[in-house]
Amino acid sequence: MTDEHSARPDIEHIAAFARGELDDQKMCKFIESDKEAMDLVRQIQTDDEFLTRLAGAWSEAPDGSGRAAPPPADMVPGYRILGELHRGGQGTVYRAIQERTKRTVALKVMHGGASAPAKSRARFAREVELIASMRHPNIVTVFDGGDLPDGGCFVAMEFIRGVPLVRADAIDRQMDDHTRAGLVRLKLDQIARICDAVQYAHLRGIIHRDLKPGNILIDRNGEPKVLDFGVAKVLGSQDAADMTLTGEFVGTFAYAAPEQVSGSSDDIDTRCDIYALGVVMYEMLTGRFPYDISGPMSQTIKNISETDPVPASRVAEGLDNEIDAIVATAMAKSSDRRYQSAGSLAADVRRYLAGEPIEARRDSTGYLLAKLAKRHRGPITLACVLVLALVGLSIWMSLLYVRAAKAEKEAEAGLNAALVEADKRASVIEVFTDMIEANRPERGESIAGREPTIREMLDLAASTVEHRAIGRPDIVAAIQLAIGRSYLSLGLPEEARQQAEGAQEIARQLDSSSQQIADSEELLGWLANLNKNYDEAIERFTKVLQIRESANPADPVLVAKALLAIAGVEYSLKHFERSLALVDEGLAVLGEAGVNDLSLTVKLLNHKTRLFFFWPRDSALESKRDMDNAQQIALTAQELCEDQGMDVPDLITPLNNLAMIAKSRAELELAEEQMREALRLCQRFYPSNHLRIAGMHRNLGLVRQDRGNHVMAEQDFEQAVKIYRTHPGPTPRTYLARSLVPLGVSRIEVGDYPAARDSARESIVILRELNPGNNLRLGLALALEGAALVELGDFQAAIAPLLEAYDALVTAELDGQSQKVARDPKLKCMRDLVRAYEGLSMPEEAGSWRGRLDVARKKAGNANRLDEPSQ
Amino acid sequence: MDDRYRELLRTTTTTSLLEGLFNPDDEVVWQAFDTRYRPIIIAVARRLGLTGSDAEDVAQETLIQFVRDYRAGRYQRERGRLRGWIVGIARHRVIDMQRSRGRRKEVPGATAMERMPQDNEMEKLWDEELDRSILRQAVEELRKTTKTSEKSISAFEQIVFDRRPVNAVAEDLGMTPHDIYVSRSRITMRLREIAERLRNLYEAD
Repeated sequence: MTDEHSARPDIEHIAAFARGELDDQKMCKFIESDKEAMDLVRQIQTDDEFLTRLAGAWSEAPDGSGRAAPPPADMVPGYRILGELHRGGQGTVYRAIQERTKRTVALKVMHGGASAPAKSRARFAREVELIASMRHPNIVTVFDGGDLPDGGCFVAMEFIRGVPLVRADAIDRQMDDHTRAGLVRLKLDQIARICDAVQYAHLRGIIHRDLKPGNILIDRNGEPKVLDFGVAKVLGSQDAADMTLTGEFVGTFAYAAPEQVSGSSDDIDTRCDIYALGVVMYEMLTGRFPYDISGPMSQTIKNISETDPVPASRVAEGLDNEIDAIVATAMAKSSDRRYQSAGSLAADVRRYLAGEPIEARRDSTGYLLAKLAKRHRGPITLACVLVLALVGLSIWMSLLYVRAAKAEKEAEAGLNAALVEADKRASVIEVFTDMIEANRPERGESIAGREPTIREMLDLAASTVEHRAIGRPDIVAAIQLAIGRSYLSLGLPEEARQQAEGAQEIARQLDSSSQQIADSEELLGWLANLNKNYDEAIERFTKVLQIRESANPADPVLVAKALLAIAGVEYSLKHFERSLALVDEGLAVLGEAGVNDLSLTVKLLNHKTRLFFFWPRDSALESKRDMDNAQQIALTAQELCEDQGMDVPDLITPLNNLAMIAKSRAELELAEEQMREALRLCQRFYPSNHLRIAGMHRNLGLVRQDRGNHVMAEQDFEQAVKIYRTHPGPTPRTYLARSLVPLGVSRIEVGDYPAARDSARESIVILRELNPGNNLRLGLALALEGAALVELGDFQAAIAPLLEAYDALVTAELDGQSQKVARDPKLKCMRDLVRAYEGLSMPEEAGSWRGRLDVARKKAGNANRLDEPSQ
Repeated sequence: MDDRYRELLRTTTTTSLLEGLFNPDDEVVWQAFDTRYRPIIIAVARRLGLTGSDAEDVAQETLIQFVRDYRAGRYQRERGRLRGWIVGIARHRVIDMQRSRGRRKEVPGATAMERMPQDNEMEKLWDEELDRSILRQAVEELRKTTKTSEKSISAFEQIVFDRRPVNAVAEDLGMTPHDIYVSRSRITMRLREIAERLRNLYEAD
C-alpha cells in the first residue's frame, strides 16, 4: 500500500477524488498539491456535471421512470442474463439462460423510453408468434418474445456459435486461381442458401427489412444463418429512412434499397430484401461495398439512388460478367426490374453454379411496363399505366407480396398452377405492350400532332388487335377482354360491349374454350349491371354459372365467383333474402370442395356483412340482430385473414366493415383504431393514389368527424379528395363529391369558411352532372354552401342555395329512405336561413322560417339538440 | 438538390424555418420544422400522462393547427415566444384527449381535472424536454460523424450510459483507464459544442 502512495496518483484516484469518493487522506493531500492532477480533477468535475444530464436525457423515459443501471440478471422475467453479446442502436443482445428449458439463448432487448414505439400487446404477441413459427435450417429460430416492465420488449432466439458474415474468409487477390474459384463457389452456395431462407420467410409474409452481413452468421459447419427475421418490425425499429433522422448507424443504411432511402415507405415490400441480398452478395464476393458510403449521408443516399455500382468483376478476381448480371439485377434501382422473389435469385445463382444460362438478363414484365410508362410522358404515360393497370395485372404494382402471402397455405401444386397462369398472362401483356409501343407518336402515328388520349390509345389497340397476335386467337380474345375491361373502367360501356362480343365470337369459334365464353359473358354481365339492367345481368351471370358448373371438373372457385356476382345483382335489386342464399351457397361450394381461397371466402363474407349492415328492417330488435350478425361475420373474416399471417390485403375490407359497424354503434374509438389499421394496410398494398386508399381516408375522416376531431378529419378528407381528383370517370367523381361535402363540414368546424364554400361548390357541380336524381346528396352540398356563406357574412348569396337545399332535403326526407340523415341537416339548413334573413334585415322572412323551424323541431322531437340561432 | 436543401435546413435556425413555412408548397421546410418540434411535443404530452398513440396524435394535431394558424398570420413574434404559442395549442389538444379518455374509462371528473396542465407547467416540461432532445440529437450527431474512433465512442457509451466501471471497460477494449478519461473529456467537449450549436438553432424559442 505504501508503495502505491509514493507513486504518482493514478487516474482512478483522481477521479475518485473529484467525486469526493476517495477515502485515503494521504492520497487526497498528494492530489491537492499536484497542479496537473488538480487540472484533471476540475476537468472531470465539469465533464461529470454535463454527462449526468446527458445520461439522464438519453436513458430516462419521459415519465421519469427510466434508469440506466446495468441490467440486473433477472431483467427479463424467465431468463437469467449471463452477459452482453452486442450493443446496437436498436437494442442490446445478451447471452442468457431460459429458466424453463435451461437452454442458452440470445436475448435481444429493446428498452422502453422516449423512442419505444407504442404497440398493442395483441399485435406484438401475434407478430412474435408468426416469426417464432419459422423453422428453416438457414434461419435463426425465435423462441419467445414479450413485454418488459419498462415499456420495452424482448425477443429470445437460438444462440448460434458462429462468425458474422463480415468476418468470414475473404476472397484474396493473393490466392491461386484454384483456391479462389473454390471460395467463390462456396460463397455463391452460401448466398443461394441465404436466399432460400429469405424466400421461406417471404412466403410467410415476413419481410426482413434489415438484411446485412451483421445479421447473417456462418456457423461452424459453414451453414449461413439469417438472424432477426421480422424482428425489426416486432421490436418496432424504424425503416432506413427514419433511421437517418434518429441517428442509426450508417452500416444499416448502406443496405437500404433506393425506395427505402427515398423515404416512401409505401413502396417497401419483399423486393427491398432482394436489393439487400444483392448488396450482401456484392460484399461477400468483393469484400467491398458497391458504393462509397464514407461521405456525408446525403451523398450516400444519392449514390444509392443514382449511381450504378462498379461491376463486381472489375473489383475482384475470379468473377465474370454473369455474376455481374445477377448482382445488377438483384440491386436494380427500380424494384420492378429486380428479381421478383428471393427464390428466383437463388435459382439464378444455382444455374450459374451448374453452368446453365442465367435469367438475369431477361427483363421482368413489371419492368417492361414501367419502362414503357417512363418512355412516354404526359397523357400517353397515363394511358399506358391506366390501361395496363386496368387489365388487372396485379403483378405490376408490387403485389408479389400478396401472392407470397396467399401462397403460404396453398399446396405446392396450387402454387405452380398460379405461376403457369401468371406466365400466360405475361405473354398477353407482352403482346399488349408491344401494341401500345407500336402506336407511339415518335413513329409518326400520333393523332393530329399531339399525344393520344387514353381513349384513343384504346381505340387504336382495339382496331389493331387482330394483326398483333396472328395465329393466337386465344390471346386476341384475352386482349379484347382486357381492352373491354379498360373501356368499362373508363365509363365507355358501348365500346366495352363490342370488345366483349368480339371476344365471345372468337371463343365460340374456338369452341374448345367454353371458359372463355364464360369470361366474356361475365364482362357483359358487369356491363349490364353497370347500366342497371339487372335482369340481363342476372341472366348473363347465371349463364356463366352454368358453364362453370358443368365444366369437368368444375372449378369451385369460379363457381363461387359467379354466385357472388349474382348475389351482388340481387342485392342491388334489394332482394336481400335471395342474395343471402346465393352467398351462402358460394361459401358452401368452397367449403365442400375444401378449397382454401382466402380472398374469395373473405369477399363472400364481406358481401354477407354488407347485406346485414344495410338490410332495412321494421323493428329495432331485428336491426340490432342484423348488426350483431354483420359484426360476427366481419370478425370471422378478420380471423381468417389473421390466420394467414401478419398482413394480408384481404383484411382491409373486414376491418373497414368492423369500423363502420363500430361507428354506427358510436364505439368511436374502436372504429378509429380499426379504420386506421385498414388504411395502413391499404397503403401497404396499393399504389399511393389508389381509389381504395381514398375510400379509407374518407371513412377514417367520417369516424373522426363523429369524434369531433375536425382537425384530423379535414386532413383525411383532403387526402381522399387529392386521390379522387387524379381519377377520371363517373364513379370516382361521385366519390370525390361525396368526400368534398364532409370535407366542407369539417372546414366549417375549424373555421375555414372560404375553403368550405369552395368544396361545397365543387361538389355541387359534380352532383348536378352525375347524380341528378339524388336529392339527399345535392341537398347536403347546397346546405353546406349556404352555411359557409352565412358564416362568411355573405347572406345574399346564401339564400338561393339554402332554399334549394331545403327543398332537396325535404324531398329526400319524403322519399323515406333517409329520414335520419336528412332531418338534422334540414333543421340546420332552416336555422341558417333564419340567420341569413336576419343578416339581410328581412325580419318577416326570418320570422317565417323561425316558425317553421320550431314546428319541425318539435316534430323531430329533438328540439334541445340544436342551439338557438345565434343572432 | 433536394438532399442538399434538406441538409441545409437541418442547420437553419427556427426563425429562418418559420419564414420558409409561409410557403405551403415547401414540404421540406415543413418536414424540417416537424422533425425539430414533434419529438418535444410528444415527450411533453407523454409526461402529462398520455400514452404513445395519443401523444402522437396530440403532436400531429398541434403541428397542423400551428402551421394553419401561422399561415393565417395569427402568430406574431412580438406577442410571445414560439414556445408559448405551441404550448398553448398543445395544451388544448392534451385536455381534449384527456377528456375523451376520461369519458371512456369513466374516470371520475375530478381525476381528469387534476391532470389538466397549466401553461406554465407545460412550459417547464417543454424546456426540460427541449434540453433532452438537444442532448439526444447531440449524441446522435456524434455517432454519425467519423471524427471520433469507434472504440472511444464505445468506451464513452459504456461508462456514461451503462455506468460500467472504467476498469472493466478499459480491460475489455484494451485501453488504459487514463486513455478512457482523456477520450471521455474530448468527447464531452465535442458534445458540448454540438449541443451549443443545436441550441442556437432553436433560438426563436
